[in-house]
Amino acid sequence: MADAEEIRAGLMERYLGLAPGLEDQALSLIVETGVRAVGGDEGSLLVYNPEANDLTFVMTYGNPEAERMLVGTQVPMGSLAGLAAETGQVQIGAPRYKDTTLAEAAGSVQSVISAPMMIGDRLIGVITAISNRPEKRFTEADGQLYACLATVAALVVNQALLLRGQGEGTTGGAPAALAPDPAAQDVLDRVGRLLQRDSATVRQLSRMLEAVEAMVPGGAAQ
Amino acid sequence: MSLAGGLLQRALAVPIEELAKGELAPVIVGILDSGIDGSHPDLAGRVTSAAIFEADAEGNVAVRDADPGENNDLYGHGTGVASIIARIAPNTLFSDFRVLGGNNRGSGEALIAGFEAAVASAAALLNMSLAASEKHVPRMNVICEKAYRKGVPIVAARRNMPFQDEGFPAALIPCVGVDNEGEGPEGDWLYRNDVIEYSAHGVNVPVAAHGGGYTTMTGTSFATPIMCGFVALLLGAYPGLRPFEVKALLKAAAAEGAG
Repeated sequence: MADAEEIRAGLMERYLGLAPGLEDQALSLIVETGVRAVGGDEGSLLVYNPEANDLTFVMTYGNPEAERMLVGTQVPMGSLAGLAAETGQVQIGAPRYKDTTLAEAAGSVQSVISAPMMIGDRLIGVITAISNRPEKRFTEADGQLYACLATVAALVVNQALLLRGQGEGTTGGAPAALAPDPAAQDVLDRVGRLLQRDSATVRQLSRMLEAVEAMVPGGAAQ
Repeated sequence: MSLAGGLLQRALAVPIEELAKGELAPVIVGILDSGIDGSHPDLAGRVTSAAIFEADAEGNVAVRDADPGENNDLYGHGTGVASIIARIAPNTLFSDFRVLGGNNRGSGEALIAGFEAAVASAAALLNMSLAASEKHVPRMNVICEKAYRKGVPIVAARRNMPFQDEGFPAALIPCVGVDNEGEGPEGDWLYRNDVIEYSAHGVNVPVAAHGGGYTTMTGTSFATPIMCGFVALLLGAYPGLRPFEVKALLKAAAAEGAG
């Protein structure tokens, strides 16, 4: 039976066009950075399969047991992750309750963020964070940070695809790369500003940006 | 009745949310979203029509009717949105225009087709808790103008993360654009002199969940129906208001501290 690493590698290759390597590590770092930055407990990255119109877990953070169970698992599009995928917008929500009073007092249960990864108009995946703690409900600022990180994650994929050359074509559901977007720098600037108050997260973000930078054609000289 | 006929003074004498306690004409609200669960107890009997718009890979849009008493919501988004309006404005009925789902983000074609149909329908007010990209602006402008001339206010959400634009149609002049003001009381909405003119508290908003039960949602999508609910109250209390009059009343109410 294939383990989670093998399943992840296969899905990353098929749906993102990425072989194991720097990009894989950068995406993993983005998920970890996101969860830590918003004070979540767990997080994940799901890839979009345009043929089946569904999302599949490829990596998780914060719960090794969940990683073994979830990687390779398809998620119905009717989920909050599916809603983020469908609308192209970050979504913040909570589970369902029997009545409005319980829903309003939902501080005692988990909160969820889902943010879409887009290359241009095309959806390639979703990153998520969940909180299981009563004191932590995700805020709008958390959602903004996650939207930034999802954009960076998509940028990582796009840069990797650019690096490998568009002439080689893509396989399976892997997306085609777009030309470099000048908005990318703006996104990175925004992420930096959002994380300024947390030195540990800034160090993580710095490592992540180094990984991104290493994949940009021309590298740090650009 | 017009603003010049003293409506403004009369309207401002009563906080908008207080209108819910009085006599109100019914108002059909067109919900352009992921569908509505017409079987949810909060919405049962209030969804009068349901249509599903789906685009294929070439952008051709197919339209089919659905049973408005059934659960036609794919994500729970539209049900949540409608439930907020229903809670604020007891005079509301709903026309369900499902433009999200069934395709890869709709490529905008399903949204445009649904938007045109909604403006042509019996709906007196539209809620659009979604944001399309700038490439759809030329066609959206035409549709918004039709709505404006017909007297149908459009309440639309700012993009949650406005990296490249504020989101459309919210940023178009005929629309009542709504941002998320963060956590706070439902009736405590604000006017601001900006492209997106209004903001309401769209954090952890209790909403009906599709398939039954309740949940909370956060974002501009859920601030928007709060404003839409207040507009529905205005239309119920003062039938025949034009979109510019609605905007004027909202702004005046906010300036008077009634909002």
